[in-house]
Amino acid sequence: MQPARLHIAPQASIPVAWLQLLHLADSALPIGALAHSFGVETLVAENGLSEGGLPTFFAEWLSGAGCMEASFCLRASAIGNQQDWHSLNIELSSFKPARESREASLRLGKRFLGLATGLIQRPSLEYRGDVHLATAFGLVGAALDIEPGMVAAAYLHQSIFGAISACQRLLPLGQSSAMHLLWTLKPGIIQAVEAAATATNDDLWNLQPMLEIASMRHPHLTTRLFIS
Amino acid sequence: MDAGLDLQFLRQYGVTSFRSVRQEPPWKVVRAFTLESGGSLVHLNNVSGGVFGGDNLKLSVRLAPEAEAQLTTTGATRVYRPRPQTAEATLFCNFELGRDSFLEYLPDPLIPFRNARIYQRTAFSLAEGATLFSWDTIAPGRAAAGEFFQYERLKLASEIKVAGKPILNDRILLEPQRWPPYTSAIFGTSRYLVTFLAVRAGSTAAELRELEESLEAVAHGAESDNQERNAFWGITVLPGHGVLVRGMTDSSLGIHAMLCKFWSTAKQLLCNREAIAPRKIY
Repeated sequence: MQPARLHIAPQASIPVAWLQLLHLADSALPIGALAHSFGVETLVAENGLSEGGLPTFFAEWLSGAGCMEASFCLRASAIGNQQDWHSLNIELSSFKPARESREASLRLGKRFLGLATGLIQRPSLEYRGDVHLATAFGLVGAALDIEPGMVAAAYLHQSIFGAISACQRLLPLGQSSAMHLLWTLKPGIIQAVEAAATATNDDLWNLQPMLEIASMRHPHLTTRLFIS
Repeated sequence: MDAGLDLQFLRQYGVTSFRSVRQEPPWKVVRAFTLESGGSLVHLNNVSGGVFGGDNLKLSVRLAPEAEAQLTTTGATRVYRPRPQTAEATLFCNFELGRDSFLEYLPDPLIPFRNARIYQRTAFSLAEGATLFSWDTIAPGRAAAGEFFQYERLKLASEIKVAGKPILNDRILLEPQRWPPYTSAIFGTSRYLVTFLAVRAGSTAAELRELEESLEAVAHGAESDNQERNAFWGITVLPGHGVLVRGMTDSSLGIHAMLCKFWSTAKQLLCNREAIAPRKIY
């Protein structure tokens, strides 16, 4: 029996940058993201977040903090000098009052940018100073010449993947349920990126004040699986 | 209604004097009281009793270098039920703190009535050496009447800049009909949202960590004494210069006492001075 003929698009229509984006957005990227819960661990321990509440939790997150993160990821793709880069990251820090979550974002951003700089080796990545993960992601996406909206969507996707992974370790959430949850959140990711594309600071809102408090209370949990 | 209140505070010969540059109803300021420290205490009145749908209320406060002011309100800020087609009410408060000035902004709670929608934006801009203590309490509605989370939308923005650089962009959106408040990441079992800010431009990282730890001790002490068993208090150092306390409670009863404890602790640590609550009936 003859195998069916496969029609493969010419090489030019499958940019290698797309595979590089998949690589960098993989939750297994060794930057330490799996060690952070960004306050979710406290919500589970003190505020009764359960597996049944996760779809609502992530829908709230995407409409609030997720949209904010995507906005800064998009803004980073248009950065052209050190001063603007510095200001952008300072501004993003001001949107993250909880110290643990802010420092986690900075730590991951520094590692991500360091790793990407080693892989990509472009002068446009050689900015100094504090860097958040969202802005680092946007900057690297621009260096790879990938459409910023796709980069922001990939960033949110890997963020949610990481959070769901944290939930699997904190809650009785099985693999199938976790993958189903991530699958159903994809339209919400696109909506968050679309909202972020035109958002100014006045359009960015946090819908989850208790999550912020949970992050502030995390250092005082009796037992902890996560750094944040 | 569009209305503004512009206040200026100036330090001369060790005493702060105040001047009302613009005062449009419903804003009303009658007089200032001189504090023992030489500072100026001003009560902000709203003669209409609250904020109506479509109101655009602006408060602008400027403190000259080394001026010292304590501002409070004469009662809760009620956000009344608007007509259906009325625009969102706005309450924009802007504070500019000159070099080495000192501000305590201690308003009474905000109470949003059924269907209320308001954008409250409070912005502080601090020059080098300036000090700020501020608090804010958001009620779930007219609790005594059993009205909880019946408002339409609250947009609550707090912004702080020190020497032009942002250290806080705290922007909370509460829409109970769209995003039910009793989920674990919004209010959980709580009903009241409380914020306390202690900022001194130029504070070192070590000073801020010490302040954070002291305020945490206040919160943990109250929680372990069972005074605040249904309260969640979080304390965090901001990206620089200050500390934020954020709390959620299911009752308003202990809020004022807790805010006074945080304020007293922070003022003692940052300024080595006693916190004296503004002269009024609580």
